[in-house]
Amino acid sequence: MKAKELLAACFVLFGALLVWPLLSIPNRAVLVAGVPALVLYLFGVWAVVVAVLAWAARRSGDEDGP
Amino acid sequence: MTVGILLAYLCFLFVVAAVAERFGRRRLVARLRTLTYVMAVSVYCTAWTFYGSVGLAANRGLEFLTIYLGPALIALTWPTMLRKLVRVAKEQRITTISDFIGSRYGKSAALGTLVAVLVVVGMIPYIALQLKAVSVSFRMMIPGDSLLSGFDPTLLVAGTLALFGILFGARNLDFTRQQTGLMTAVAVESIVKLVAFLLVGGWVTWGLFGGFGDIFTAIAASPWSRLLTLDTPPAASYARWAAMLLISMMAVILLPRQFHVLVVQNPRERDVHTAAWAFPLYLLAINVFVLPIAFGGLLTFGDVASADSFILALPLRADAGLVAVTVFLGGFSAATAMIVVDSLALSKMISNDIVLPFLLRRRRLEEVYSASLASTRLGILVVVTLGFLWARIEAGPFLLVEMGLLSFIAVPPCSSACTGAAATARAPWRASPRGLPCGSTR
Repeated sequence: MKAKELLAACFVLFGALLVWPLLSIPNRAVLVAGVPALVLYLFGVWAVVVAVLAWAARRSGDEDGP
Repeated sequence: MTVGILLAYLCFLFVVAAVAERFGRRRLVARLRTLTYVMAVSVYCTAWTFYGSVGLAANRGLEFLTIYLGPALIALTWPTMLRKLVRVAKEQRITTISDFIGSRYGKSAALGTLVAVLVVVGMIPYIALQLKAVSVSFRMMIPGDSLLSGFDPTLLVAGTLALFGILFGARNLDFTRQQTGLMTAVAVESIVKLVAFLLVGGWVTWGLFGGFGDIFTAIAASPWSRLLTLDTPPAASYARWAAMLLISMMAVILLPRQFHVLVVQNPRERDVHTAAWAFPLYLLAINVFVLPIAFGGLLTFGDVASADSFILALPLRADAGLVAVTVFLGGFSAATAMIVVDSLALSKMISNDIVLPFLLRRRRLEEVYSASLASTRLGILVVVTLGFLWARIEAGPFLLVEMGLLSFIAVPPCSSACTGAAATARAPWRASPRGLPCGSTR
């Protein structure tokens, strides 16, 4: 899949993960390893977004050439 | 001593900008350009991030994260959308958001003026917020019985920053040229505020408390446990969450300072790809310790009333002078970077879309260059002065978030016009042969 299409798909996917109703799944008052579930979830999604973008940037760097 | 630090830091900014301006064309500095761009984009984090996020987190829990999650999410569209916007802006020599909207809708000067007035008025509270944060944090840093207790540094700071903007930003009229000195200074400030926040965050988390687990467990067992989840009134609701996510997604490109740094001062189109991942990473890093600091403050002071200043109050209470100075410097750098870039971007709007159309109507073309340069420089002064006056009038308690949101909400009206502008821009642009050199990425 081309990087652009993947990014568009990720935008929709992560957008959905960050609003109701999907957001209500991790929204509970439990601590996971001492950290609230919702905090872990939000920072986790955030880190994946960064990783996807870093991957896309590397790919576009290859395509752009030197 | 605090005054000394403040003055030394302001001098440091001038030195950094002057050195970068002097050696900007050498190869090493040119290589640093991508890094400078990425760091300068983080001018998004202002004194609001530094003091306001903690305050918001202590009052409403996780809601503060929307202001940073929104930009991280919209960054997924940057490699396509922002890159296109940068290209159009470079081709058409667009320097402000009001230029962009005006030029996209049939070169309408009236529309440009309207947008400029709206945006300038909307941004004044935001600048006032920064000055207020400087003034409040300064007041906390000096002992009560000091000779300086009646001294307010805001006028001094505002004046110096306006001078800085005039010297390094409004050097010449062509804002599409690289403002190397200014951008480097702003980038350095972004590093200062990140390092300061991480240091104080680490100090609170592991120095005052026993790590993340310790703080969160204590909060979960306290009356504030509602802050750990959403939709538990009076904390944040899902609807508010989604709305703030949406507003911040627009703000990260359309706020005048963001547009100036991200689009107008973009050094190379492909640097957008680097910014797209590095900027969300920066935001993530600067937010890791917000909750521990906010909750640490709640556990220590047991009261949300002064939550905006928890980050400074904690080290002051523990008598950790060095940490307090670090916080003060971090907050100060966040505030100054924002004031410099915002006043510069707004001054360009004032000059291009308010003063120039008026001059052109009077057909005094021969004076246009000097008048435009003068009005840009004067614009910086006017914007900073208005911010200063607002900060003076708004003498209530420390309501950073309310003041900031006021300005964020000024942005969405422009965004629909802008999306329309981008959409209509696309078709003729695609047909243009100038798009071909970059065709390999499509």
